[in-house]
Amino acid sequence: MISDLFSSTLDVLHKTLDLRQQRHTVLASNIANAETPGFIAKDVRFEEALRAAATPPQPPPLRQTHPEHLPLIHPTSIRNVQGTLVVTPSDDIGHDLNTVSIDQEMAKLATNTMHYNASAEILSRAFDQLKRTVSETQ
Amino acid sequence: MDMMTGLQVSFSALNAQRTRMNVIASNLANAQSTRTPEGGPYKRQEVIFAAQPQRSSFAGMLNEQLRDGVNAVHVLDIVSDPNGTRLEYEPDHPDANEQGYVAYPNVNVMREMVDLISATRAYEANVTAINSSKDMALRALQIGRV
Repeated sequence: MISDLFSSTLDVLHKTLDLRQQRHTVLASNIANAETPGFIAKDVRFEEALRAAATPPQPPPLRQTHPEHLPLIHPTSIRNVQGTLVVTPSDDIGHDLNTVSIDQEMAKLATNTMHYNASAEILSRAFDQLKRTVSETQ
Repeated sequence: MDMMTGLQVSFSALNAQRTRMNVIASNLANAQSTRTPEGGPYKRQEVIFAAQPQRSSFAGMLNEQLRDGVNAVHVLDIVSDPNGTRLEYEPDHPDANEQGYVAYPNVNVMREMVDLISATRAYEANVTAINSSKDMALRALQIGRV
């Protein structure tokens, strides 16, 4: 089946790149505002939502046997996963009410970039594999 | 493009920190200036940073919630600090008052140096963020290249 070929792995990787990119923008904004008075550091959280969407759904035990039955609830599709903006907890708020901890943000930025690169690498290899599969018979 | 927003945010910070460094340099250079066009000794200048939400360019790209999380930074104003002019007894100085005191600028060199280091570090942090953005963009372009 051609739809099996483009499996959910690609969807997950695609979405991961998307969300990591968004998180990168938010972290870059925290670093840019590391000295802005009153700025509150934020972060994007999406891991749980993505994991929930990527877990293979259990086969639904119910079937719609009548058109007027309530529709079955489908699990969130991977494509619809969205990150949520959260306020980064901070224990040292300075006199200027800025909550950015520059070390923490730099560490997050580096980790996020590494994850992004790793996902991009895996995606590249997945495409590589597909290519090999479709060209092997020639 | 999304990646460009991250870059723009970091660039705005580089700009702001550079302005701050210029102001610090001006403070250090004028630490002993007793005359200014406005009259009186030089007054210490200070920059005020303000966050600038990145909304317009972004509406379609990020979902509603995330838009609030992205802020560029800009220099809202440069204000002068009127307090703490230093008086020193130098009766021979041309700018000495009747009692022989000279009003020197309220520039504390040590404080300015600390500010300068802090501005440099902030600048470096943003350069790192820009390099990360660049790495990610390049990486994305390499997807599918065999």
